[in-house]
Amino acid sequence: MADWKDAAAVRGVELNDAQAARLAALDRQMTLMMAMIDWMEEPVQTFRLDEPSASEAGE
Amino acid sequence: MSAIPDTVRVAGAALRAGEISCEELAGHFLKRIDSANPKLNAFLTVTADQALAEARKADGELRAGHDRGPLHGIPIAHKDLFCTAGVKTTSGSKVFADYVPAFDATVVERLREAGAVMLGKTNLHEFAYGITSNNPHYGPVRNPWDRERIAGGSSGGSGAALAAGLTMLATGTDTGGSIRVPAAYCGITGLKPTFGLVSKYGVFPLGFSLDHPGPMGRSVEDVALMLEAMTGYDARDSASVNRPREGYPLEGATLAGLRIVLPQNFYFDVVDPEVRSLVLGAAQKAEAAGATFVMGRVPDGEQLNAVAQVTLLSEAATAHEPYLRKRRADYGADVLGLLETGRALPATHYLQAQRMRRRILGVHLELLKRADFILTPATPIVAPPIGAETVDVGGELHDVRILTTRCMRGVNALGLPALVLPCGWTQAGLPVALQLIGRPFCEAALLRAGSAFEEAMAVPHPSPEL
Repeated sequence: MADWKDAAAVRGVELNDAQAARLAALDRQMTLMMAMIDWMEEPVQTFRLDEPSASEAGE
Repeated sequence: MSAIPDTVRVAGAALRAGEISCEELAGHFLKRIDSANPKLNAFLTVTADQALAEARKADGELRAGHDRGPLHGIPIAHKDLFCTAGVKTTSGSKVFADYVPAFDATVVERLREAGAVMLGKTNLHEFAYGITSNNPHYGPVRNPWDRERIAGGSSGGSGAALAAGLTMLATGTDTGGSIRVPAAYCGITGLKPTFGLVSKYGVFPLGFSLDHPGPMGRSVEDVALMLEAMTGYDARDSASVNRPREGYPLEGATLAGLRIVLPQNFYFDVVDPEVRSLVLGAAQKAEAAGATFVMGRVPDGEQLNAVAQVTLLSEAATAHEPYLRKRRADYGADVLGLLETGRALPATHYLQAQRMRRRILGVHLELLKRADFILTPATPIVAPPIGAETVDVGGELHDVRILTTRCMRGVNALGLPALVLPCGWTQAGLPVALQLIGRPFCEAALLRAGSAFEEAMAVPHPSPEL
């Protein structure tokens, strides 16, 4: 619990015991789920730039 | 006309037969709001003059042969999270206490074009970030079945207004159960559509990948008619899905031939005995009406809920960052606490949660290839007393907020459609509801199944004493 409070304090966020306990519980669940991760998979939609259309390019 | 119609179809027939006018119908509901709203606090703003003017216009259109369809002249209330042109939109907050948008949310615009008459804006949990609707700035929404209990949230005003007969239809939004919780606690029907089916444009964001606007009504049919008017691609919402609009006819709906998963794990693990009995009783009636129930294991709900919580905590903190910087003192304590918790989550957790979310969705989609729907309790408990933080289930104390959303929160992370409808009443006279979860964009089948459940269960619909 102290770890979560300390880590948050570095970012200027003050957590109470209940908030730190909630984050610790979520952290435990996330750790338990690590085995299901495909580490080659992009975590979120990939940033992409599309070719401008001919009309946009001419503007 | 002596009796005021209580469903959209009956009201529509009466309006077209000239038995009642749109103005009389709106006037009836405005009177109900006037007398009952002080007891419930369901509405934050009542737009009486505007409603009557819209109703008179609707009457004129019908006389001129311009019929906008099933919602023509039907009274509706909008959750005060939807922007309404020229009408205050507070988001249940002090931050936007005086905000008057110059535009309508897409959903409001579409329902207006379909002829619905806006009665006003409904109360909600502050910024839709919570399930009690115990609003620190505008007061709690009270449950019409027991005014010492919560109406649920965050769309609590919409749920209470429908249950008490203060409106015929209402909009809601659902980020972790916010349509379905008040539907369950107030004894009405609510649908969280598939993510992207209904536009979020003009709705104050909470979790941009979890927010789902949707319909709330007093029957599956009313919800189906309302959904039809709400859907359609909207280029102003980046999540809007471009697919053909469809109707949701319910005629001939049957349970025969449907395969429904009754989960063996998680969803019935922590449930009040009376709720369990009523939900399983509904399943028995559905089976007698021709449905086939399959006992099956579903992906771990604790893990799915953790993914949804990490996602929401992060996205909400992001959405509120500019306001939190400038107006921190104007936030209520519980929402501020959630936003601060979200700010403390590392980015790595959010990104890993997105990977896990897709993985768990894949397992659900495989499961839903072998069955049509998953049946769960909507909420494991009935509406708790206002202010209660814990509730006893099976001799163990549980956090009210976490237990209330136990069967719903994860569905938002998956984006799957979920319908909540009443399945009975407890001995104490409180409503209990079931939840049906379906495949992406299966709303037509889901609503038909809901309608068939409604018929098989024949749950009584009394009126609350106010």
